Amino acid sequence: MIENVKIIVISPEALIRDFVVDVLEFSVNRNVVGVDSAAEALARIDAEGKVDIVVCAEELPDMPGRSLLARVKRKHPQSIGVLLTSGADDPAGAADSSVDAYLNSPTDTRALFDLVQRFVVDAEKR
Amino acid sequence: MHHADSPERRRSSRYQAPGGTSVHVRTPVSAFAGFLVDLSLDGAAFEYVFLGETLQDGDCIDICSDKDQLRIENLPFKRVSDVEVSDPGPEPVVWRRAGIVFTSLSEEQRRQLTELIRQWGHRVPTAALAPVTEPAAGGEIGDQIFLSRLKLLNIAAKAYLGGYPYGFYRESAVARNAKEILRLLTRQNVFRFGDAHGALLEKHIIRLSTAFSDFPVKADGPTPLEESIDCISDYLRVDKGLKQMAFLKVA
Repeated sequence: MIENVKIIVISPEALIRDFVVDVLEFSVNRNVVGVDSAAEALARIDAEGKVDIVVCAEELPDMPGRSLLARVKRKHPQSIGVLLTSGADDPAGAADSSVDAYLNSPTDTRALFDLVQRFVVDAEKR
Repeated sequence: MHHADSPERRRSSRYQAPGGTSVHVRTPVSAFAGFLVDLSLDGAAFEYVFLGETLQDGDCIDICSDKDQLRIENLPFKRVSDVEVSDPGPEPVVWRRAGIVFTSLSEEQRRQLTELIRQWGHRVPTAALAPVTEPAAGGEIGDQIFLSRLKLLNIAAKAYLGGYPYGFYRESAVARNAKEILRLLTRQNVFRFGDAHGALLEKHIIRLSTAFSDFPVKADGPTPLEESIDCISDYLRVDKGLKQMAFLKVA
């Protein structure tokens, strides 16, 4: 279990971003930050020092989501990178080392719960 | 519920399907069945048991109304949404809800759809009979979000009433979610069908959302909130109880 887990959600789609934030905040009972661009995410992560889980849309207005996760991972290798994809069963670049998990349907409540179970509750088992 | 400024995603009105209206999805290699949730002249929503095969653009659907003895065949569609609606946990059966937009309907198919909707007792506006262009892909995201938020509210309410710990952030998230459901409910015309079941469901959704919009939770009136949870659980086709979720013990 990660105590006082820090999570940031980056998506330009407010409907999706706010929903993901609400599900994760309900699940972990900790503040979850939602932002709409890579620049804002990087600024928040720099200010925080470290973020445990970065949940990122595939397409951001200022850089691809994969690139953002790669940048975060270079600085904070222990951070978990989760990519919100557009529903592809076999997302391109699935072997991307900066992506620890893909979320094919960001509106799937169960998938978000599974994410919390896997990366927060069962963290020490990984 | 319909507001003049409601951003309806389909170009023509949608109508709730009566019970017993089934669908058969035809893929190039197989076929499977489900039941129709609602229908318009340019799209439909239906639920089906997931057997490992996902919907693909270009698949076709048959709509079968036993009551009206009507079958509309080979309606080609493009998938707009396809999300699981089963409760979290080790479900023996996984239900999914799909939103589709019809593509390249023939005049005969449009006539049949119109006839079916009329047989359900709805008046189809004449303007809606004109050929429509395909709505923007992804326009049903509001439907997905609404259902997912409703599911979150249902789980959160069960957890609260079941005595799971609620800390500050959990309360904040649940209150925001409840308020967003109320906001979406007034902007989407999901429940503007006016039948008795739809009206009752809407009443329970508003009641539960209102109760969880602020903490401590207060029920309006003597009816227990569990009644609203049960009604919403039936609609979502999820168990009325709460599955074990370890993270809910965190507060």
